[in-house]
Amino acid sequence: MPDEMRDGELGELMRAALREESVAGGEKGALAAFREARDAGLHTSRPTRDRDDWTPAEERRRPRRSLKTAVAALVASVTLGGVAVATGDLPEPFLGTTAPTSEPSPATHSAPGTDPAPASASASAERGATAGATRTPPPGTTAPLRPEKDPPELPGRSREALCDAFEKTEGEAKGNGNGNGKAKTKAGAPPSTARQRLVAAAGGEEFVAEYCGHELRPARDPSAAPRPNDGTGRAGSWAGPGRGDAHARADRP
Amino acid sequence: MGEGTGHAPARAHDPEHDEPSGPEHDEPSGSEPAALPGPEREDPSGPEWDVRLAEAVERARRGDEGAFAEAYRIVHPGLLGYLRGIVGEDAEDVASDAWLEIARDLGRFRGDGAGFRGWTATIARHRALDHLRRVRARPRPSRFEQDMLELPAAGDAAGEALDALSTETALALIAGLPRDQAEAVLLRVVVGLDGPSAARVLGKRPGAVRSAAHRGLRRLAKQLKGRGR
Repeated sequence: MPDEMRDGELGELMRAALREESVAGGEKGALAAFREARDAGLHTSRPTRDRDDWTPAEERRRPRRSLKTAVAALVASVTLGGVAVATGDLPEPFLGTTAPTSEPSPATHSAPGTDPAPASASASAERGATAGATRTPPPGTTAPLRPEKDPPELPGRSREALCDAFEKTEGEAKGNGNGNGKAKTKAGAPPSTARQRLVAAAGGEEFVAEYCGHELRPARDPSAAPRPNDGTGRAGSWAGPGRGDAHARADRP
Repeated sequence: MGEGTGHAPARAHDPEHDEPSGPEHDEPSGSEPAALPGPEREDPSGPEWDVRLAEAVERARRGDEGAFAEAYRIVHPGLLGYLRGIVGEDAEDVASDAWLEIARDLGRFRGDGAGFRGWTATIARHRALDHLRRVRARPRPSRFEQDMLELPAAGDAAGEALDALSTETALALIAGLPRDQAEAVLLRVVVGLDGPSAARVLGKRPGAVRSAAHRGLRRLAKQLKGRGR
């Protein structure tokens, strides 16, 4: 490739003129410095910085490392993107029922916050139920609700959460027998909205246990016994420590 | 790096063009610096020297002092010419500083012969800018300004025979250019860098450097041609 810049007459003139008196005196100093650096191992020990890398442009334009990085990034983005799409899709069929998404969230949030209230309410409710007494459904929970709000209408997660809360409060009620005054002081508090919703979803106070599944009570009751002292802690625990741990673990890669 | 044998690179110029024949045969890899052939000694800046330079640098990196001396002889004239254009008669001192750094950092360098020219030019430029900063801090006029005052005007320069452009005249001509044009011309013409390498040395876009070099050369040519021939 002819280089008009270099080969032009003017270029040659300038070059010749400016190189004219190049003195060779500096060579000795340069060679001494070379020997010194070489003998000190500087020529093998020091890393190449960006400004020292003058490999030809064609090679520099596609450095292997950054190509590898780019490919890895592409693969990662496709993979993670696929996962994101997949997990984004999953809830659709699961929650695909008519349940409004806003419904579960107040349930999960209010239930733990109102810890002792459902405890006492459910405790009395349970006692009433076991005693065979017919109880009036709490206000807002009416029989006609049942056909309208069939159990399947509650999103699975919400149902589980409500039942969980129910079970907790029930456990608390039993724990009270072991002398925890905390829950007792709050006895008589109005039933929480979560409980109301659960009762409504079940179709009545007496159907709650059935609605939540039979294994519920036998499975959880033993666990309630060993730690009777912290009813509130347990009430909080269904959204608290247990899940908190899970989150902490999930956060770690 | 180099292709083992020292033949001229494929991108060598038009064969009719009268140019140095370039590296001929394999260099002895002893530590004795190879003497440069007569006619080539004057201008070892062309790309036809790059293969030879690349080999010398590679051997020097492995500890061969003679090879380092050869690289020095190939590269130094161009560096010195460039430095003259920037710092005037202090160029020798600045070049010595630059070579100390080059000798020390040789192990860091990666690239071929043309890359070595660019790398060394970058180091020389940094030393020159340091020098100019120091000089400007002193209460005397910089070398650059003195040259402009003392050297013949461009009109006189143009009156000289073109084949005997003196160093002073060339420096005066260069000094008459805006800084970016002067540096672009020096790196392209005197050091022998290609466009992208010159741009990298200057830290500018290749397009900007290309146009600066063209404008600079056109300006020089106008000054010379107007009265010369």
